[in-house]
Amino acid sequence: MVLTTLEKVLVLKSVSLFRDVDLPTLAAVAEAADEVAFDPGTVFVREGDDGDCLYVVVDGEVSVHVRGAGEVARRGAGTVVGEMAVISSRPRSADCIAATAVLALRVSRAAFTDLMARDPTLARAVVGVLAERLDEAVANLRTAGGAGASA
Amino acid sequence: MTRRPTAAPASRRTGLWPSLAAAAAHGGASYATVLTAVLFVAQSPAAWLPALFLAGGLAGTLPRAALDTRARAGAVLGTTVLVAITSGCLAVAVLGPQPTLLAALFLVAAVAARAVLLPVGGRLRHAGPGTLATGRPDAPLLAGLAAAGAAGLLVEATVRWLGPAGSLWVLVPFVAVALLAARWTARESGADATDRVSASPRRPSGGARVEAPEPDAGAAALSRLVAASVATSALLVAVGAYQWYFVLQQTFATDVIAVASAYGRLMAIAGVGAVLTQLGVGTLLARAGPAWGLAALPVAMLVTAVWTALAGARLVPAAVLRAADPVLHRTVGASAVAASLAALPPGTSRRLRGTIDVVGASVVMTWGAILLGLQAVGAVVPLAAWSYLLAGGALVAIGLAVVVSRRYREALETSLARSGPRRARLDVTDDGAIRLLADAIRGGDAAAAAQAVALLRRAPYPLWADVLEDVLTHESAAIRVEGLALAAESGDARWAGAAMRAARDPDAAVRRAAVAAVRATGGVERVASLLGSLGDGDARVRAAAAVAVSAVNDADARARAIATVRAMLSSERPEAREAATGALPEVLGESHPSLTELLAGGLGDPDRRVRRAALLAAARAPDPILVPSLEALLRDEALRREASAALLAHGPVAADRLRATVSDPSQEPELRAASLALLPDADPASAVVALAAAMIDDEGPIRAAAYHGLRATMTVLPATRIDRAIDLESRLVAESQLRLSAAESGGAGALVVERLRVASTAARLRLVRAAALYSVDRRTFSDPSGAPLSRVELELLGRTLPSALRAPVLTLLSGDVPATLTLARRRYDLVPLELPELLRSLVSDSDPWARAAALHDIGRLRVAEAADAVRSALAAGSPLVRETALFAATRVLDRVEARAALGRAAEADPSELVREYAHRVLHGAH
Repeated sequence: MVLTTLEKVLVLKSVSLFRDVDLPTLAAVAEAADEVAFDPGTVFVREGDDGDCLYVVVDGEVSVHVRGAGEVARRGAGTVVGEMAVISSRPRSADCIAATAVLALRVSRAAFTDLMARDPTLARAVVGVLAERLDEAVANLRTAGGAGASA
Repeated sequence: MTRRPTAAPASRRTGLWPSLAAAAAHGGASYATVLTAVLFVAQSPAAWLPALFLAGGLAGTLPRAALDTRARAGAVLGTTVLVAITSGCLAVAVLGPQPTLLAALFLVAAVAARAVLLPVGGRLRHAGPGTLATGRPDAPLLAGLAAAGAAGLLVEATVRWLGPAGSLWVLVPFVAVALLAARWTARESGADATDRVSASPRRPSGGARVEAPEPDAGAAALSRLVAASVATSALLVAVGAYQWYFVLQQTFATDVIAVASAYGRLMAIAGVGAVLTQLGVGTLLARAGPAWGLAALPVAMLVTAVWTALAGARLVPAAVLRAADPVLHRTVGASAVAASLAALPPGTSRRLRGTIDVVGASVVMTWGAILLGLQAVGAVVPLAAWSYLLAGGALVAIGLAVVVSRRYREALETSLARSGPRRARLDVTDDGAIRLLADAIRGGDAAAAAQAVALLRRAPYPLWADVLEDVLTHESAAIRVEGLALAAESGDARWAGAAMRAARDPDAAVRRAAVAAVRATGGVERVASLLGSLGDGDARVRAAAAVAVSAVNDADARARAIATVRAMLSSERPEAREAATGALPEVLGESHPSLTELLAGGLGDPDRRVRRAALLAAARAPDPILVPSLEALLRDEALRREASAALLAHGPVAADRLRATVSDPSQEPELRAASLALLPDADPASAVVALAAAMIDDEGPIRAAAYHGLRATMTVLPATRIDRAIDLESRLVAESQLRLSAAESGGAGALVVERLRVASTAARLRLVRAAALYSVDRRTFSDPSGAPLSRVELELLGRTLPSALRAPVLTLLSGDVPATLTLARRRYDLVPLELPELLRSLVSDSDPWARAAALHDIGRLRVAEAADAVRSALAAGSPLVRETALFAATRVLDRVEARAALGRAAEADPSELVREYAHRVLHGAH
């Protein structure tokens, strides 16, 4: 499947991170974004690697694994994976594995940081994503703690 | 002293366009008259035309409705000179070119013409430029003639001394003087404007300012500048007369046609320069203020002069130029002199000093434009035909002036109706001006006296106290009424005696005004003496007396006043009931138990005049009990304005009632529409909701009222709120994929079209997508993000609607969509638009995002009917559109054609984006 620029823009627009970014700016990101397809079981993000890009899931499901903890989350169409390493400039904190056939848009760190510099609404959205991830991590910890206590 | 805001008299309504139109008419008619007069002298076939042109000139310079008093005064003076010129030319025709005799005849004719024509503007004597302070109506004309003569002599001397080229140096002192004068007057006018803006709304009497500052001081100042420039056209005409004198004297015997042609060319060349420089000065005036604009004017004139000299030397035959050379120099020199001289005469009013520097700008510009056209026409049209064209041009100019005047007056009336009377200001601060006004009042001319009294009202009271006695004893009853009103406004007890005498005036209107004046100036014992007026033969005098007497703290007197009014209320004569009803709030007092009952009776009176008086009284004495009766009178178109005002005076109670009526379908449509129209004024915040809901009412008048109400609400509510209301309307229609029919759209069509034109890219994209989405089965379709349609819908609602609008919007958009569509189709008389037609029309949209979205849907939904639109889009200018068109091509065109298109794009498309897409499709999944 080959996506047009308009389709890429619509996909990006559907992601909460990019929802408030204006169309011309998103068009520039869409032009820089590559379409990538992964077969089921493909590990396309490895824990500890350098975070040089993020992925917007267009179709399929992605399993997020943390070594020693197993699967910690699942991401479907219209979500972003790999954005934490791009935002924090630190190594990847988890593996991302294609749970099904996955079609995604690959946005490079350079394109993303350039977009953030141009559009302050994106910076605000990033803060929101970080907060969501924090909530998710806390919830996972509680779940793990509860499981440990019950064990 | 209390002073009511008063509307500016019609004669003082100064506007940019009327003034420009007057300048056009004046300039065109002037030139036509002069030129044809010369042709007459030359015994041309157009010899009979001067009389026509003279009449045209007179008519063109005196469109009374178009001009304000100052411009009209200038036009009168200009026409005076035209008459003189024509007379001089006729004299030449009879007597031959004898310069001395001609000059003498010219002066005699000018004086005689002035004597004849000035009475025409008699009522303007005290309002013309410079006349208020100088007392000389002909001061500008005399100054202009003197300036022209002095300049001419100086140029002559310089030419003899320095030669024609060197004589340009004579401009230097003129320009220097003009520059200094302009800077000085600019400072004056700039300070004047600053004062006007910063002045407190009301100053103690005796101060220089009388009225509140105008809110649009800059525009008013500019209008006055232009008006003053029209007035100073008299100076230019004087200069022109002087020039023509030399033209006739020097070259008449040899080649008058050549000189006329050369003169025309020179004026055209000067006109081009004037247009360009005037544009610069105008821009500077508008952007940097009058100070800079006026300071730049001499520089602009110098540029024009140099341009005229250089271009004239190249374009005009040398022999003719030599003959016309003095004319050229005098034109430039005298104009510069006029610029400085106009600002300098001592005793000239401050306003004139501040504005008159824009010397002849509009006139020169008009002449130049006219002459350019005539020169072009003259190259191919015989001389006689040229004259006819001039006549036609003059008539067109007159017609334009009349049309512009009418439109201006309509616009002004609309503005006045909307924003109320504007307060104007008059700098009548010196005794000389007051003396002139007093002369006018004593002069016996009722029209001039009325004008003078109107001007008096604008001055601080003590300044005209000595004049008031003359006003109060004027032979005209209307003037005496004005005088009594002035006395009442002054509140000065010294006028009480005169007012009491006037209470026995044979004229009823005077007696009424006298009663009010006694009340305002008299005091208790004098008011008590007005008890006799309670038995006056005129009902309105009795009512006025009752009001005056009731204001006194005297129970007996008040009881008599009330008894008088009650007796009048039971009169069979409508005028008596009208007068009594109008006086009820003041006579009875707002707390009187019978007031509401009596007002209600007045509201139900069989005579419309009485009902109107009751409405006006109810506005002054609001009582919720009256609201239903007031609203019922909204049905009467003749009384709607008064009923509206009375309802608005009742505040929230009336707003509640209006809302209830609007939403009650059992009420008459006319009443509901009238209530809806009034609602935005009664309660702007809640009106939007009612207006939005009323946009889909069954009744056309109500939809129309809602449309107008929404537009009117834009002025009182934040733009975003109304914008959202309109957006709602657009979405309703777009999402319904319906097209409005031209007829019976009830205003909604105009709103939608307006909105679609100005919608942002994002909003239009949303509309386009929404329209396409609704074209398929909404139960099975989901957009590319995977979100169900209802979610998109709710998201849009949440983002776009303020809380106040949610209720009516949700009523329209949520729930049963097919029912909503049916409702919209029925109420808007909509015509369904088929999907292919809709998408084809969107592919030609001006917005590339909208085009791309439409193409995307054409491909995604495989709309084969739109194949031609896809083919066209393959060659679109936008890469985004071309790329999406390729996508659509792979879905709606046959495989061979689609692959050919992809191949061409992969090879030769100028955009890398499109080439890469085509390449990937060719070698990828497709």
